[in-house]
Amino acid sequence: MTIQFKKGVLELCVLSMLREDDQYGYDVASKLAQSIEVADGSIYLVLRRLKQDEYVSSYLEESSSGPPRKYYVITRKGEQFLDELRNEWNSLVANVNTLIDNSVSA
Amino acid sequence: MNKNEFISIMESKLIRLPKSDRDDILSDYEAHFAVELEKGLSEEEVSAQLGDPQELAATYLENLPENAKGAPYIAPEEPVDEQTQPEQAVPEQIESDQAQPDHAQPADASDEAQYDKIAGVNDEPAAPAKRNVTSIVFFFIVCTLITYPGLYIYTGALCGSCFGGIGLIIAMVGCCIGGAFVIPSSVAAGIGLIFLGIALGALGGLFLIAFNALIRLIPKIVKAMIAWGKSAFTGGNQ
Repeated sequence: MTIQFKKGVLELCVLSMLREDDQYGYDVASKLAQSIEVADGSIYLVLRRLKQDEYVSSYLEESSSGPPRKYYVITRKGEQFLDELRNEWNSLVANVNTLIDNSVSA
Repeated sequence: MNKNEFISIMESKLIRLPKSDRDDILSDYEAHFAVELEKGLSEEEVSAQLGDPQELAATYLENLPENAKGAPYIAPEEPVDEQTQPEQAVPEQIESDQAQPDHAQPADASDEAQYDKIAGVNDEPAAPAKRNVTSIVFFFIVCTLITYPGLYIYTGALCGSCFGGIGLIIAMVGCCIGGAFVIPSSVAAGIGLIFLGIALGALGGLFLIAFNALIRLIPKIVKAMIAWGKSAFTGGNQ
């Protein structure tokens, strides 16, 4: 449950970040790791799975220093999936909050 | 843990993925190291930040079918080398890697027979050693039969294209000068000569281009021969 849950949340976060702008894999990993307690390394797996499911695509761009950078772009399919995830997330949060509030006030 | 340790642990754990997938995954982590190291972090700090390479690698393998978990990846699309007989082909296709998981290659005789059975090798418990000898012999046969005559032909083509090219270019110069001298007495003959010269020169240029291409081929051929010789001696999968 927790692994699946975390995986879903990470996908939601990554897709949300990518909807705003194309991002370099490293940026996604480091930004996410800052806000969620997760090993940087596991984000690359999330990106890879999203790519396999065609929710994102990637392209390489030369960088002034070091090897070419892999940028990720959200696809149309990914945007639809993000909407689904977001709805699920919102209803989950709402339900959990109601539950917590009720049990606190009870 | 430094960068090399991190990468090689992941690489050995991911051995049963196709090489292209493995390289793709590892490139993400190498890129991560590159950025962080440039920012001034130490390799140890970056490794810690990325997480445990063993666990990370395991997550990449989660969706693989159970039966693929023990053995290194067997590439179905790799073309079978011409010198291997069909029934011996499968063991050759196992990707070579020094960092194989310890349970991947059965060592004792009964396991080997089992291994051969799985791989489709019939009645030939000593197949790997035999194949090794066969490929070495094959290598030398090809070396003597094809490479030596090939060397003469190659050298011939090299000299021919070089001197032919130079000769034709000299002919072009001669024709043009000759043409220029002839023009006062016969315009048509002079212009004809000059055109002939230009045509010869163009041909000479082509010869020199061919010469250049042949020269550039040398290191590639040498490299390929060395790699092949190496794989013939090691049997390709040790």
